Order: sequence, then C-alpha cells, then structure tokens
Amino acid sequence: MILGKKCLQDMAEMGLRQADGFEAEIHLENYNYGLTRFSEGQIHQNISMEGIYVTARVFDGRRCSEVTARAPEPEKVAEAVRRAAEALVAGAVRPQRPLPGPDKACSVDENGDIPGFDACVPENADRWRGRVAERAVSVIEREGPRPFGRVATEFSERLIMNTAELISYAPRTSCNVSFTAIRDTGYGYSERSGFSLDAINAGEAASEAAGGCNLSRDPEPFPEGEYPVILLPYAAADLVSFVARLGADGEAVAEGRSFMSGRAGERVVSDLLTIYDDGADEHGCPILFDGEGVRKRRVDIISEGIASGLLYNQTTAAAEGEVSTGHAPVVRAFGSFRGGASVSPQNLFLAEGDAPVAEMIEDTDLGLLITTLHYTRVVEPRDVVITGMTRNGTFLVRNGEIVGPVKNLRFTDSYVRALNQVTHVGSQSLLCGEGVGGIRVPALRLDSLRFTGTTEF
Amino acid sequence: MRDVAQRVVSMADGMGASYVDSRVVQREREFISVKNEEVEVANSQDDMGVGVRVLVDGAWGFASTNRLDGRSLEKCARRAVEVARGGATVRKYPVQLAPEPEYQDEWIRSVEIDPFAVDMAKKLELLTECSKEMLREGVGVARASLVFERDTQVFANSSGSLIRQVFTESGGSLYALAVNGEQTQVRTYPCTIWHDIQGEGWETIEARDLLGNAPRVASEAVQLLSARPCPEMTTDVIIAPNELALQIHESVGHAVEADRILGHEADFAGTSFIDPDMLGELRYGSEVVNLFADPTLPGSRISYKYDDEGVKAGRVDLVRDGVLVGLTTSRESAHELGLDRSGGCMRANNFDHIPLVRMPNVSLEPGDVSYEDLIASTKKGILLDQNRSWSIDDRRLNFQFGSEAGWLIEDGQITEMVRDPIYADITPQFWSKCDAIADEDDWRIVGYACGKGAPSQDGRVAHGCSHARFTGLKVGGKKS
Repeated sequence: MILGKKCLQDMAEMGLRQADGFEAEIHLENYNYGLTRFSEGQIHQNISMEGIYVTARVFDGRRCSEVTARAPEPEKVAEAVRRAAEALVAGAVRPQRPLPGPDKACSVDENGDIPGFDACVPENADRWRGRVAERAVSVIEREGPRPFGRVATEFSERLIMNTAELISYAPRTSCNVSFTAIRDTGYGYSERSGFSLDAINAGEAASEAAGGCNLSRDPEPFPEGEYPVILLPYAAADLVSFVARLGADGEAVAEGRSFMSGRAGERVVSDLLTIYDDGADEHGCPILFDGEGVRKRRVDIISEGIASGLLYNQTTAAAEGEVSTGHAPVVRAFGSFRGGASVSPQNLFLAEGDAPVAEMIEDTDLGLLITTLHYTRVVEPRDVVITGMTRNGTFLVRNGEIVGPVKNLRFTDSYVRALNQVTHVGSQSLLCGEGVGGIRVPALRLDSLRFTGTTEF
Repeated sequence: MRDVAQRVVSMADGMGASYVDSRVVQREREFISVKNEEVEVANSQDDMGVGVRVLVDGAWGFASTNRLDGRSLEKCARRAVEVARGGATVRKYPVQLAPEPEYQDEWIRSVEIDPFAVDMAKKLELLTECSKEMLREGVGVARASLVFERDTQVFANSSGSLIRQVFTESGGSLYALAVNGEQTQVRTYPCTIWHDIQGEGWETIEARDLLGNAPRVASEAVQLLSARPCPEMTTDVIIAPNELALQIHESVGHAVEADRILGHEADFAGTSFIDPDMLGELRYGSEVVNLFADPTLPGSRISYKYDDEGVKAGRVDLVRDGVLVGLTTSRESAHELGLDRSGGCMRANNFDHIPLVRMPNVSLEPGDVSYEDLIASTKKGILLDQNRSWSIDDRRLNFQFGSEAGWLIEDGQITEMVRDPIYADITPQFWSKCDAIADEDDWRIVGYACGKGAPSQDGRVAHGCSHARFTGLKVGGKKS
C-alpha cells in the first residue's frame, strides 16, 4: 500500500527532532515486491514481500554514523536517529560532507502524473503476475519448448529529509518478466521491463523465447578466436553497464582507476556511441533522486565516442570541486556488506542508431550473433577487461545469413576495446534489467570480440 | 518470538493451507569500513519480522511482514494463502515434501567474545591504523573493514516443530589497491570478498592480526605493479585455500544443488551438468578427491543444527574417491528425487526471503601430505593466491578464474612473483587433475557469501579446504 508523502514526512520529522543539534538525514522506504517463478510450466516460487525501513545518518562535520532498521512505527524512526547520534559520540572521523539543501530536492505532485509510477501496479500486481505466467507457459509450450521464467512487480515510495531542509519524495513502480525456453539442446530467452503493466507484452516475449530456442537446437562446435559479433540488446546491455559503472565514477577517475582517467574530452570508444544516464526518462524506469535526496541530472557520459561526463555524489563532488549529479547509491537496507562504489548509474541509455539487426547480419561475412552474456566478471577494472560466456542461443553468421546455432563460447576482452570496434548501432532499443531503473540499449555490431574458450553445449 | 511464529502458522493453517512454516528472525548487524584513513561506512542495523510459507492446493505461497501485531500477522498469513491459490492455476503436479520428524529444540552457536560488546571506538581505531599502515607510495585505495551479525531465529511449522537458534558471526578484511596509470593491482587479506566471515566472535578478529598483515598486503600490491605477467604455460598449479574455496563453491557447490538440477534456477542462474542418474557413476575427479557437505562443522558461518525447513542437519557425502555420490537437497527436491529425507540444506537470507538450497560447508577433505612437502615435491609449477575474478557457465562446466598473485615454483622452491594469473578448465577434467591435497594442519574454513535466487539472496556459505595441487593445468596472464 502506498502511504503518501505526508505520512512518511510525519515519521521523518519525528526522527529529525531527535538529532540533538547534529546534522541528520533520514531515508524512509515503503516497499512491496512480488515475484512469481515457474519451471517446466509449474509455479515453484510465489512471494509477496512488504515493509518499511529507515536509515538515519547523523553528522557533525567531522564524524558520522548510520543506523538502519525496519520501521513499522514512527517511534522506530526516532529510535534510529537517537542510536545514530549516540554512536556518533563514539567517534568516527570523516571529512565534511555538505548536506544538500532544498534547491536540490525532488518532490512530485501526488495528484498529477508521476514519472515512473503506474497506479495500476499496486492494485493488480498479484493477479497480473499469475496471468502473465499462465500466458507465457501456454505460448512457449504451444511452440514446443519447456517453459521457465519469472514475473516480478514492485511498487514503493521513498522519502529523504534532512536538517538542511531538503525533502525529496516519489513513489515508483516497475514490472519485469524474463522467459527461458529449453528444448533438448536448444535455449531461447526474452525479457521485458517497464514501470507500467502496459509496457509488457507477455505473449510476444514468450514467443520470442520459444522461437530462439527452436532455432538454437543441435548447435555445432565453433573454435575460439577473434570474430565480428552481433549483440542483441540483452548482451549489449552488459557492455554499456560495465563501461559506465567502472568508467564514469568521478572518484575512480580521480584515483586513476578508470579508463576515463585523464581523458576528458578525448575519444574513448566508437563515435557511433552515445551513453547517458537519465533518471527522469520514462523510456526507462525513472528514479528521480539519489540516495542523498539529490534530484538526478541527465549526464552524458560518452557523446559520440567522446568522454564527456562523470557521476558524483555530494562527497566525491566536493572533493573534486564539482556538483553532485544525483548519483549517490540508493540505500538498500539489509543488503550486502559489499562496499566501494561511490556512485550508481541506475538509468542508463545507449542512444539508438539506424541499423536494423537484419542489416547487421547482411553486413557480416563471418561472425556470431549472441543472445545473452552470462556470468560476466571483471578481470581488470581499469581497462574493463571482462570474462563471461555466451548463453541462450549463439548463432553462426556466414555470407550475410544466419546459418545455424553454435555451442557456447567463453570470451575475455576489454569492453573499452570492444566498444571501439562498433560498426552498427541498432535502430530499436529495449529496456533490459530488473528492479532498478534498467538499461535501455539497441543491438550492436562489433568488428571483433575475443573468444578464449569453448564448451560442449 | 515463539508466540509470533506459532500464531502465524495457526492462522494460515486455519485458512486452508495443507502445510505451513514460519520463521521469525531478529537481526543485529554492524558494518564498518575505513578507506584511506577516513570512515567510509559506520552502519549498525537491527531488524525483525516474520516470513510465512504455505502449501495450498499443492502450490507454494510466501509472504512476509515486519509488523508483528495480530492484525498484521493475519493479513500476512492471508496474503501467503492467496498468493499460493493464484499460483495453483499454473501447476502440473502438487508439491510434496519428504518426511521429517517434529522437533522442539534450541541451539546457540557459542562465541568466546561477543563482537557487539566490543567498543565501537576500539573497532574504528583498529581499522584506521590498518588503513594508515597500508597507505604508502603506489597505493590508491587502502580499505579495512569489519562486519558482525547475530540472528536469533525461531522456526515453527504445522507439523509441530518449534526450534530456536542463535547464530553469531564476525569478519574483517584488508584491501589494498595499487595504481600506476597503466594498471591496477589488488592484494587482500584474509580473503578477497566478504571479509572471511566466521561463525565466531571478536576472537576471530584478534586471531587474524589485521594490523600485523597490513604492511605486507600493501607492499605486495605495489610489487605486483612491476611484476612480470604470468607466463602462458601448462604446468602444476597449487591453489591456496582462499582461492580453492571459491573453486569448490562454483564448480562443485552449485553443480550439486538439487534445485538447479531440477530446473528451478533455469530462468536465471542456470542449471547443472549433473543428472540424478549420474549418482554413483560420474567420475567427478581423481581418486584423492573427497567432497562433502556438513552444516555441523564448528566455527563456520553456515553451521546450524536445523535448516530453515526444520530438517535436522547432518553430513552428506558428495564425491567419494572421485565419484559423485550425493546432492544437496530440500524436502521438496528430496521427494522429487525419491530420497528418504532432505539433506537439510535449506537456508534463507532473512525472514523476508524464502529458503533456498544452499551449500552448507561444502568442503574438500584434507589429504596426507604437509603443505611444505606439497611445495617441495613440485618440480615446476605455480602457487596461486586469492581470487580476483571468477566466471563459470550456466551448467557449471566451463570456468575461468583469475588470482591476485602467483608465485612460480622451481625445483620445490617458491621463486618469482607474477601478476594477473588466470586458469581455465572444464569441471570434471579439472578435478581429475588433482594429484595431492595438503593435510589437516593446513585445512581451514573460508567464509564466503553467495548471491543466489530471485530476488537475489546474499546467503551465508563457507568452504573447508587446504592447498591442493592440479597437474598439467593451462595458466596464463590477463588477456585483454
């Protein structure tokens, strides 16, 4: 259930009154996440999670502390702030981080159209997931393969309020489906995301997975080597994501850890590529403000191949004499102990080009068409060297035609090098990724990607 | 907590569920990290809620809430039942569970020094000193971290089980990143990721001597910048426990999970090359390779007496003398596989997640040679230490692992440090190359975490192993 800004603000105000003269910041998130997964046409996981959590941060200019708790009642919020203030006395040293003021806030009109929010999601989430699963199973089975998949819905509202009088509030919704079709040695995959139920055409997505599966049966072995590749959007999204996350972090650039270090204004990838992050663009799943309550700005990270923009939070911006771009990671309570990244690009876009996938195939004498990349991991972060596998349908292209499926291959390559090999950018983009804002990308054709291993399937 | 757990079970039972279980979890957590002598994170958390899992018309439903009043519990139970009824429309067969007796019991993982009782100022001082020790010429990032967690958990089910367990764990690690404008090099201690969390108290932090190791960690990171790349070669490879643990995790732990084998993760993480028909037949490795799962190992972060389905834990042999003999299972998958009972491997990340098949201390049995003799008996080879990158295909066959550092071995002596070593192989072929495993004196449990399932659960895992040698393995440097 969406509680509304007033309810969350009342809770936050009660908390801030406990700050005892310190600077303080309260994050409140009220969330509902539903997920339905099926395997072999049978739902094996069907869940509905809900809750409210609070994170209270307290600062005094040199010290800070942070307390996170589930907060079903306003008293819990106040208690979190009190505990944070007490922990502060224990003495953590940290440089001044300016709290953002009201000029950086983002608050939506709850009675108007809210970017990234579809009121139908809270009303219909559970029933919708069941219907979509049923439809997908039916379509995939009708075309022959065994159906597997997941259908997810999320609706939440987030409020950040601080002692510098910033109040940011927005509700958001997201829907995501992914379907996998398996038939003996054949695998197919599809994915759809959006903030609205209407954005998901489950039948079309299921048919895509089944069709890909039927085409990928009985793959032939193919040797490792360096080949031109056509990456469908699911695969292309991986390259864009890694390059933006590892490359555009202003702190990493300053510390010499990024391929963009010292290269502002230089061409770093193909001039066919423009990569940007825009939290307000409804072609993605908008996330309007960041983990410090700062309204997100569109940042053109790479413009026609030129390194043109970096991402900052309040602290890293202050250290570099910049202004926060609104990319502090959103606090996800009770998540991992992984630390490190100071920014998080959650609404990435790769601008569309003018090449249909059919044209990419026609222009390839010998190459591979790849549906998805699997288990991609960083081998070396500065050059964005990544290793991973092809998955869910890899096809040989010869003399401008798809001639048949091949067995999966391992690749190890620098994504920066790979994105310097782009010859075609697809004319139709697809929103990929679950839960957060997503990555909207078209297909890409590269002149080379380095494959370093083979498999028997 | 017992009352909440039992009430919600009773409520869902009265709404038509044929089976109900609930878990009430109260969690305390601290995560402190200092980067370049400045506090990066000083976060403490507390959390409490209930998750209820039901079977209605043979279909699963699950709901969770952190509101524990009677009205909210009833709403949560109803939501679980309604979700299950919705799921029953897409069902080929009713879910059935392998039998398990009911238990009323309590189990507390004991620790010597309560980590939450240690003063925050003392923790921050330790981390700041470690970071300071690591900050030297060439080091760009010097990070030291501590993590502590305590879960008090009550499980109840409609068969009458009522089990209270308390799990305390502690971890801490060092990370030094060296940069020279052309490359980055990393050294960590005692473990690359997840701070080598153990099922112990503050004593485990004292035992690992973070401050004493800080200069070495930083120095080795800087040395790697000028080390030569690992040469391409086919050679004997000795893998250190902190790296081998992840190798076990990826190429054994996940491959033997019954839910993957049965296709429950096919839409996401993938399946497995293992088929249940391979039990007793598949040669997984050489005859010296013996692997097992044992949640009762003391000192590990994933040690427990009962799993999150109320199944009493025990050891399960997975690979015996190199042959696949067992799988990790749940009550549902045990029934599907025709087993008498579950292996007791189900764990959930918190009250708001469903339990999944996890790998409880999947470990490699020690061999009979000392670590020193293992090195001394290697004429030509390389010693690999600490994982830096890892990737494996969706059936757990083709993998590639990169290490932070390698040391060449010549005539039984460790010689030159090399950078960016990578090795790749196919799972059964790799384990078949294992010709020697160091003995019990070298054996230790490495604490890890594992992202599995959807929504992703960062579950607790740990793996016991000692140094092991693999003959004729292809290694090389970073390929870019």
